[in-house]
Amino acid sequence: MTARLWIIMTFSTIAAVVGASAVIAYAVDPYGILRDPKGRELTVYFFELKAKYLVNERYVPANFDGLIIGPSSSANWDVSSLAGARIYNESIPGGNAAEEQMLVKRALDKGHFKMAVFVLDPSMTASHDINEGVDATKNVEAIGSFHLFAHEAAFALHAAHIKFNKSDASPNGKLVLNLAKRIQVAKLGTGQFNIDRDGLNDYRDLIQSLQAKGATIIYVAPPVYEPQYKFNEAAYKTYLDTIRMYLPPGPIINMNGPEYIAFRSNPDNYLDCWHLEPQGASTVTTLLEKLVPQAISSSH
Amino acid sequence: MNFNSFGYIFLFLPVVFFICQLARRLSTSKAPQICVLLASMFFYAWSKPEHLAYLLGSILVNWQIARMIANAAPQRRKQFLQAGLVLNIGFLCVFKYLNFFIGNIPYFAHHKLLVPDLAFPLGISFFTLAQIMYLVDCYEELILPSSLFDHATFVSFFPYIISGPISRAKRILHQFSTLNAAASPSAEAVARAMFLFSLGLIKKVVLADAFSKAADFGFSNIGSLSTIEAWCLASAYALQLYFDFSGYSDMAIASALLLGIEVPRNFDAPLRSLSIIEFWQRWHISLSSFITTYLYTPILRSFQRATLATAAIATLLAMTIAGLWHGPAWTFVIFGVIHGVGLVINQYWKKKKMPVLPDWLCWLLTFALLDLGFVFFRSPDLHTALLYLPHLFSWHNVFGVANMRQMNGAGLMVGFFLLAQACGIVAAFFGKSSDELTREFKPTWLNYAATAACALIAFLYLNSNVAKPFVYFAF
Repeated sequence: MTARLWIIMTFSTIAAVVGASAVIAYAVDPYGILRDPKGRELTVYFFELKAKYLVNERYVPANFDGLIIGPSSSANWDVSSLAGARIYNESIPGGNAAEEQMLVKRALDKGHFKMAVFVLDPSMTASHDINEGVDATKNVEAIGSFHLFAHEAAFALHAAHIKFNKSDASPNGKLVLNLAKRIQVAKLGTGQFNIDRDGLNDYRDLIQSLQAKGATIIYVAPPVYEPQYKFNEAAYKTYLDTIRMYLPPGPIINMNGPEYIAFRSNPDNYLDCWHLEPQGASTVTTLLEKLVPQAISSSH
Repeated sequence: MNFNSFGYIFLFLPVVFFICQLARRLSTSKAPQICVLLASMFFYAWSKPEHLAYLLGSILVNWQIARMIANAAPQRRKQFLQAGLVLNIGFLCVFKYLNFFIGNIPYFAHHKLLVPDLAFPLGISFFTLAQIMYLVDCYEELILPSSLFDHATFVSFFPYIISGPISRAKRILHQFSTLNAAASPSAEAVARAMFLFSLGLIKKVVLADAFSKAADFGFSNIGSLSTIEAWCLASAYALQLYFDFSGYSDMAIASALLLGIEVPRNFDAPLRSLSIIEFWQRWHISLSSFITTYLYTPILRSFQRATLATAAIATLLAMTIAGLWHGPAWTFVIFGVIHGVGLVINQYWKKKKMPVLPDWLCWLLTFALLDLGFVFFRSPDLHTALLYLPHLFSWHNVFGVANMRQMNGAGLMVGFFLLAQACGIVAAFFGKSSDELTREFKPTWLNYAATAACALIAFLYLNSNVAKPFVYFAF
């Protein structure tokens, strides 16, 4: 082979592979970035944080006008609509307010949201660390990247009807929690209820940004397994009171209240003390569908 | 601008290459060099334009001093050289070392007399050494002072301005005639440059960053490391640094080659060295060459007799300074001292004709010393290094692998990183060096497939936002 041919071949191969990858990416477009996402139903596989960051660019603002913002404990709440709003569940396993702010602010730039449910869980304000380098994620990753190829592989497996055990998110953002059932009641340390100043500011900023765009804010205290809640009741109450002082006012649905004690006492509803089994999540969803409209109307 | 960025790979480098090609066809004989100089200035100013003034100042001052050395009467030449050295070292100290020195004098540190921390200009450690070498070479009449245009092009040449290889003027200046020649670099040279660039890119983006995951984990979990884990993760850092810096050097050499300039090699499979002397002949060769020629030899000459003892003192001093060159911290000083002590023992062993050890033991001892040094090199402060050290020699938990398990965990990316680490180990300890591969390069189908694959895999990593900045950018 001559050197000139070698150069041409090398460049051509690189260009061809990059081109083919871009064409496949356009065809699959799992993040709704390359094609018009209006009306599409996008499922998220792998790298949930990055994937949700990317779908917030176009897909979420084009298809939803309500949000659930929370950590892993609300990630498997399968809510499709609340008080007339189509809901996207932005919850992220291990997520915090800083990450949620990054995700949702992308959607806010282009979308209009009627309402947002904010989950008041201590993990949301415990830190403001950004994981998986999501703050440096670029839209161009939708053309060729590890997570894109993982998505494409998942698409191919689904198309071939091959089952694979990987958590994925439904088109409305609901995640499947692949957690082993392990309910272990323990006294939590004060560190578990630590409120990070920056994390709290991020949460407040996000709420105010949504309010400024006309969204109604509803707070939800997620249901904690009753024996665990009882064991740490004072700390949970103090956390809730403290955080409510700092956050903008709004109606709250406290699922740790006495009216939900039967639900919280049933271990069949829980994977662990905080995460719900699908049946528990389904009950919470039904409750939210009933309580959120009431909370909104009472606040007006 | 990073070599491992799409902006550099797809825009800056091709544009400079094609503009130089066009300039070669112009009647102005220096047109390609003008293009390279402007491109270098643009490249340097890209991240912090305000630092360009420092670079220009350094170029102007050193060019003038070199002229003064050349034109001065014999008795004044040395004074001009000394003034030049003081200015260059002072320039480096103001930006890098002033607060370190003041902070280590208890009285001043206590009275808060520290000056404001100045962000040091990118590549200051590298281009200042190039200037010092230029002045000394002019003083020793190894080269004649060049024109301001040539000097500016030599110092600011974008492939090496930020992190080397530290080049001597006499190796570069005469090549400007090739750069300005009407004939373009041959297709063979361009193909070789592409091959080397893709090797460098994959070394940095895939291999170095895979090892950095392990090293970062080790230094974040020092308290629970077993002995075996402590050695493995220190070795991971050695591999990270090797692939990071040698990858960068490969890309620098390849970028220069694309323009028809040959820059000296910087690495030659150093982790296979069987002694610490051999290691420094293979690791950061341009810095080793500077240390030998411009530090060790003058220090040794300053003694009346060259004995084993004076050679040992010169080695220790030169290596301590070389350690400090990396940054204003005691960790770097100790890194230099460890290597200095290793070199002294090595010299003594050779001179006294002590028993020859088997190769595997030589390699093991050398690599252990490197790991020890790199623990200090990697640690953000002395306290961290001193926390890490006991784990290397602990009998308490020798074979524990709990951290390794936790680090590897599960997940898609982990598989990629483990595969990259396995490839890296094979490449570093058993494979040919980039220099050997490039010298033997022929435009074959195998090399075509390897180049395309390396480039595509590296692009995938780059676009997945998992690439990290170069370690040596911090120096």
